[in-house]
Amino acid sequence: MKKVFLLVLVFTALVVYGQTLVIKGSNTVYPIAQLWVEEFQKMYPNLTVTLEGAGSTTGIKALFNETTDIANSSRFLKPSEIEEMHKAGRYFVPILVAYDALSVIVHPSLPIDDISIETLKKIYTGEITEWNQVDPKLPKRTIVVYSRNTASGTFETWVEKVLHGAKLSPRVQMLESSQAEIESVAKNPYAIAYTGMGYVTDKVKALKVNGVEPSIQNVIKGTYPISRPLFVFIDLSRFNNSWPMEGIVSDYLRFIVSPKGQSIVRQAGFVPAYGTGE
Amino acid sequence: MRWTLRIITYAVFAIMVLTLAIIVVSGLPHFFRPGFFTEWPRRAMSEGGIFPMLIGSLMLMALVFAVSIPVGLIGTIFLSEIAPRKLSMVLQSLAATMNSVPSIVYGVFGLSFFCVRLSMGTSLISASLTLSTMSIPFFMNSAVEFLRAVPKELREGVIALGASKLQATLMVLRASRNGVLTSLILTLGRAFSETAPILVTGAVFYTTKLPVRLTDPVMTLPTSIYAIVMNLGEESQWMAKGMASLMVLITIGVYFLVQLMRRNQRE
Repeated sequence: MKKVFLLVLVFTALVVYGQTLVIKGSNTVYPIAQLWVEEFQKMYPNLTVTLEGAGSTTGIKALFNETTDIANSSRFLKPSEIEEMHKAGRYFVPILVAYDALSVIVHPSLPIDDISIETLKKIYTGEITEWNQVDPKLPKRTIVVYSRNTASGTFETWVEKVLHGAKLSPRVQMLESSQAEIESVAKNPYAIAYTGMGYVTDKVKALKVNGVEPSIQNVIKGTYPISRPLFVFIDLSRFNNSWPMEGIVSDYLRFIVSPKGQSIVRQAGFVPAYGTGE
Repeated sequence: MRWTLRIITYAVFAIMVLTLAIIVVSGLPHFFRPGFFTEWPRRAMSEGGIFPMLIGSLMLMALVFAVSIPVGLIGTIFLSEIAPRKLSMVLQSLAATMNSVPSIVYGVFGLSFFCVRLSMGTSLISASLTLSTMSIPFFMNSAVEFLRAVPKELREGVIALGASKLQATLMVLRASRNGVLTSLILTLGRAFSETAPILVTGAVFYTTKLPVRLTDPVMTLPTSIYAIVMNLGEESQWMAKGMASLMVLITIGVYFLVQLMRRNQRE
């Protein structure tokens, strides 16, 4: 009986004091968000955080329905969403948290340093199949083309920034992970692949794209072409249309842009938007 | 001809066994990782264990049971003992129709009715009610056959001995209890492995606490497998494999139990 009473007491305490932070949205941001949440939980043991993927659109919809505190998104608001937001008298603001930037990788021995988006598109749609078609100086060898599988956010970025929605050639081999891509390219001198910038190692060579070096600086400057910003949206109309200075939402946002939060971004293979303070 | 048929049958059987074996075997070694059943997942589910998913699934099943048993039993008794023949036929074919509705449709129904209209939100209660809406017709459909199978003479005999309608019904239930229990376990087995309805009504991919209120969201085994496979990298896949293996083993266990009960019933 005593035990039951104690249990009830603990439960009530949790119900009264337990706060909940709800996060929904983008599948691309999900792996970063989970690491953030795990770390944030350690700082606020009484807090409950729930996290859902299901896509950027779902996250922004949830912001409209007020079923989420924070919406992760791999894109900015669409014009239709902005219009709807104004009509509803709401005020969504984005916080830039990271960049999803992709490096194009080849074997270090291949005599090529620079590639254009158009050429990449031709390679991935199957219009070009041999290296000497890219540059006459290159050997006449078949290009072995690797891609991430279609379920990944990386693939989504690639389709958007390089293929511009065009269909992938059936010659392209799908790989399960960035790790597998790097291993495969490191073994094959005539292979090409793309991977999150954070995963690139010395085993492979990252090419310049349209003459721009794939570096964190160039991503942040916005000159590197295969990157997209990742956002976290909040609804300021819930905070009297001004920035929340205290409360759990405010603390969470402060945490994810802090050096600690940003180093988690890098850990997940993305480019931190504010540097990691190192 | 006969041999061709036999070979095809064996081939199909082999494929089924192979599929199950591959799932079970590829996940089984992870059971022996320290803390697989007792720890929270860490580092984006690449370390730790499946404790919250396991407990979440069990909690959900307990709630589904609490709702489905009374409602399902009352419905079954109404169908076989009380309703006029014609009404009973109509109701049963309705239940059969509901059985063939894809589970995501139940999910969307639950989302708009329980989560939004009744403002229960993404929660344990929404998910369990959605699953119950799905499993009650399933239960009724299979249980009613067992009640009907009780010989008419038995009913008439009991009533002739002066039993009331209620007593007669209880007698029918007792006579068919093995069958009813079988349908119950089958229902639970089906509800346990269902992903789509809870994915949209009550499950979240990650939560830092176990649910303490009915209105809290929950992590479950099937939805976490989905979350890992869809969103996370190679380092996390082992956890999905382990959970898939566990779920297959549990399902096999459930069907084994059912077979055992059927055998007992025959003796």
